[in-house]
Amino acid sequence: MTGTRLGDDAGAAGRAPTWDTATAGVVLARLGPRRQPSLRFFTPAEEAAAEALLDLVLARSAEDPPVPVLSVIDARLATGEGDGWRYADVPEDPEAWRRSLAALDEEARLRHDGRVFAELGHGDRDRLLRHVLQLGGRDWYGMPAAHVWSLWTRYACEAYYAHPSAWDEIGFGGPAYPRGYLRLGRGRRETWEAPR
Amino acid sequence: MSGAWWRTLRESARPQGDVRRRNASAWLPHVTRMRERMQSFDDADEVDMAVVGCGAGGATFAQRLAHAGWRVVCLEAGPFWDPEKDWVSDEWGSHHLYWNEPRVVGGTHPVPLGSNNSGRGVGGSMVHFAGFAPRLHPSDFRTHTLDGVGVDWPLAYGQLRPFYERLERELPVAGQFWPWGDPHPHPHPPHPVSGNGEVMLAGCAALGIEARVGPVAIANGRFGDRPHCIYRGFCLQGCKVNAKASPLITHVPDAIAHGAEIRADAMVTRVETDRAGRRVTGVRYVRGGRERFQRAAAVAVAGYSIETPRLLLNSATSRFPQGLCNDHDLVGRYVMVQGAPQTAGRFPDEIRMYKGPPPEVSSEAFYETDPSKPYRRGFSVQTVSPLPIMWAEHVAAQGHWGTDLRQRMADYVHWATLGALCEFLPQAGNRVTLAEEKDRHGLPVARFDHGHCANDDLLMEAAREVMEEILKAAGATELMTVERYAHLVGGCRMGRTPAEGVVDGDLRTFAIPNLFVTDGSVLPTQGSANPALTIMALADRAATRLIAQRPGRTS
Repeated sequence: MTGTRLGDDAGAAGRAPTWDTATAGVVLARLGPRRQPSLRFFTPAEEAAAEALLDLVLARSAEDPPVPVLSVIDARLATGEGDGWRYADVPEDPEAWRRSLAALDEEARLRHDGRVFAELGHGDRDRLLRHVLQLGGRDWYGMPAAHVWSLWTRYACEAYYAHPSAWDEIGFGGPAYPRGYLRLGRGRRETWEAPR
Repeated sequence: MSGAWWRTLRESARPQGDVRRRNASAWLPHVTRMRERMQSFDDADEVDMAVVGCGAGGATFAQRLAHAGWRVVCLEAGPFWDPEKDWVSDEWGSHHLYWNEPRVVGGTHPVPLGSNNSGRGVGGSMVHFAGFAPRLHPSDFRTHTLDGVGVDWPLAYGQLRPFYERLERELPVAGQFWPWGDPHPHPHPPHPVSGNGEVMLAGCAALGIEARVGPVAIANGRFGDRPHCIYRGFCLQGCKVNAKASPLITHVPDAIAHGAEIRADAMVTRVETDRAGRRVTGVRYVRGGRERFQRAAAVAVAGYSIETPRLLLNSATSRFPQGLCNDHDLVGRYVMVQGAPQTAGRFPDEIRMYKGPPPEVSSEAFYETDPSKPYRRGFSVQTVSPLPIMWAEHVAAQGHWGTDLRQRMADYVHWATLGALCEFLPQAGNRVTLAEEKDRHGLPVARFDHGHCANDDLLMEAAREVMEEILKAAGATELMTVERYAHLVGGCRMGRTPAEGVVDGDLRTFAIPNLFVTDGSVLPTQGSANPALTIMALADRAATRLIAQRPGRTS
C-alpha cells in the first residue's frame, strides 16, 4: 500500500475519506513518520532485547507491512501511559519492562556463554521464550512469568493491531462512522469487503 | 408465555408523555449545547446535594433531584465529553475513556482493572459499556433464603420493579419479550442481528436452549430527538451516533435543564464532616490543580466499587479512624466481579463479528439454581464481538504467539465469540484497601484483592461447556476459551442493619444521615445480569424516596 492511494483497493486507510474527522486524525497519525529522536525510554541494550522479543512474539518478517511496534511501546512507556492497574507482584509497567528485558539478557547469558538475547539465533530465542511461557505462575527473575508474558503480549498486540495495515491483514473493515455497516449476517459483505 | 404478545404491543405503542415529563433528555438539545447554558454554583453556596461521580448511579440520582427542584452539583473527576470531538471509531484511540490512574490488583485471582470495568468522565463506564441492559431476577434479592449462598437484600424485587420499568423507557431498551425472571416486554423492538448473533441463535435453536435478541439500551428507531443505531460496531468506544444510552445523553441534559451543575474535571479527595462526625458538610476537591471545598447539605458518593470505598477510606476522621462509615469494617469489602469466560468458535463461512453492536443475543436459561448441579446460582450467555486488539488478547491469552498468533489473527472474520456472566458469590476477603503507593494528588491509591470460591470455579467451567456446545451446534470447527472477568459491584453493600451494610435500602449510610452511596458498590449480590440498569434503578428509587421525605424547592 502506498501512502497516497485512496479508494476501495487501498485497504482500510484508503477508506479514510468516509470517516469522521476525529477518527481520521487518530488513525492516520499512525501512518506518518515517527518523531525524532525515535526512542526515549529504552536504553540501547533494552532496545536490542525488545526488538528481538517483539519480532518473535509477533513473528515479524521482512515482507511484513511496516507497522511500528517498538517505537510505539517506547512512547507509551516514556509518557507513562499505563492501563490503570498493575499486579501487586509486578512493578509499574515501565519498571517491569526494564526488569524483564534485563532478565531476558541474563537468562540468555547463562544459557549461551555470555551472549545477550539479541545475539542469539532464532532457534535459541524461541526456546528461551517457550521456557518463560511454560513457567506459568512460577517466579522468573523476581516476577511471576505469566504476568511478564501478559505484559509483553499485551503491549505487542495493542501496538500491532492498532495499525490499518494489520487490519487489512486480518480482514477488519476499520472505522465505520458515519456510514455504518449495511450488510449484516453470516457470509454477507459490504461492497468493499473482499472474500477471505 | 401467554400475554407476551399483547404486553409487547401495549408497551411499544404506549404514549411517551410520562417519560418526557419525568426526563425530557431525549427531547432537549444535544448535551453539548445544553452544557453551554449550564448553571454554576459557588463553592461557598451550600447546595442541597453534592454528588460525587457522574456515571449510572450519580447522574440518575442528580437528575431526579434536580428535576424535583433540588439544587445539585455533580462533581466528576473526568472530562465533560463531546461525542463528536472526543470519541473515535478506534480501539486504541479510546484508551482515554478508562480510569487510567494507578491501582494495584492482588489476591489469588487478581482482576485487571482499567478497561472494561472502569469509567471516566461524564456518563461513567456506560459511555463504553456494550449496552446489555437486563434486570436482575426476583431470586437475586434472596439468594440466602432460597439457595443458602450470598445474602438477602433489604429490598424485594417488587420494590425495584417500577424503577426498572421507568428506566427501560428512558434509555430506551430494545429487545424481544423477556421470558426469564419477571417476564416483561421492552419499549423498543429487537435490533437486526449480525453474523455473531446469527451463530448464537442457530446454536441455541439446535440445542433447544431459549435465547432472545436484546435487551440492549440502544434506540431502535427514533427516540425523541435522538437518532437510531447505524450498526457501526464501536459501542465499546463510545457511541458517536448518540443511539446507545449513557447518562451523558439520557439523564444529564434534563438535569442541566433543571438547574443542576455537572462540574467536570473535579477530583473529589475527601468528604468532610462536622467536628463530631455526625453530619457531612461538603466535599473537598481538586480542579485545575487548586484545592477547593464545595459546601453541601448532603452528599452522595457515586464513584463505583473501587473509588467509592477509596474515597471513604481516605476520608477518615477522629470519629471514624478506619474510614468514613466504617464502624463495622464493611467499607471496601464484598467487592464482586462476574466470571466472564469468553468462548470463540471458528466457522467455514465469514462471520465478521465486528459489524453491528456487540450486544445482540442473550440467554438466561442457566441463570437460576439447578438442583441437579453441584453449584448454586448460575450464569447468562451473551454475544460479545471483540475488535482486533481485544481479539488479539483473546488469542494471546490462549498461549498463542509468533506465527501461530498471526495466522489465527488473519482468520479473524471466520470467528464468532460468546461470553458468559457467572454469578460469583460475595466474599468478605474480596476487598478494596489503600495501598502505600500514592497518586499525583498525594492520595493512597486503591488496592483490590480478589479470589475465587469453589462455587465460582464450578460456574466458570459450566458456562464454558454450554458456550462450547452452542458454538459446536452452530457449526464451529474449532474452539478457544479464555477466562476473563467483567463488571464490578459491591464494596459498600446495603443491609438491614449497620452490622450488615454500609447503607440501608434507601442508600443512606447508617453512620451519617446526610451521606448516601448511590452507585454499584451498594449491591449485596450481583446475579448474572449486566449491572447498569440495576444501578440506575437503585439510584432512581433512592432519589424518589428522598424527594418524598423532603420536597425540594421550586424556584
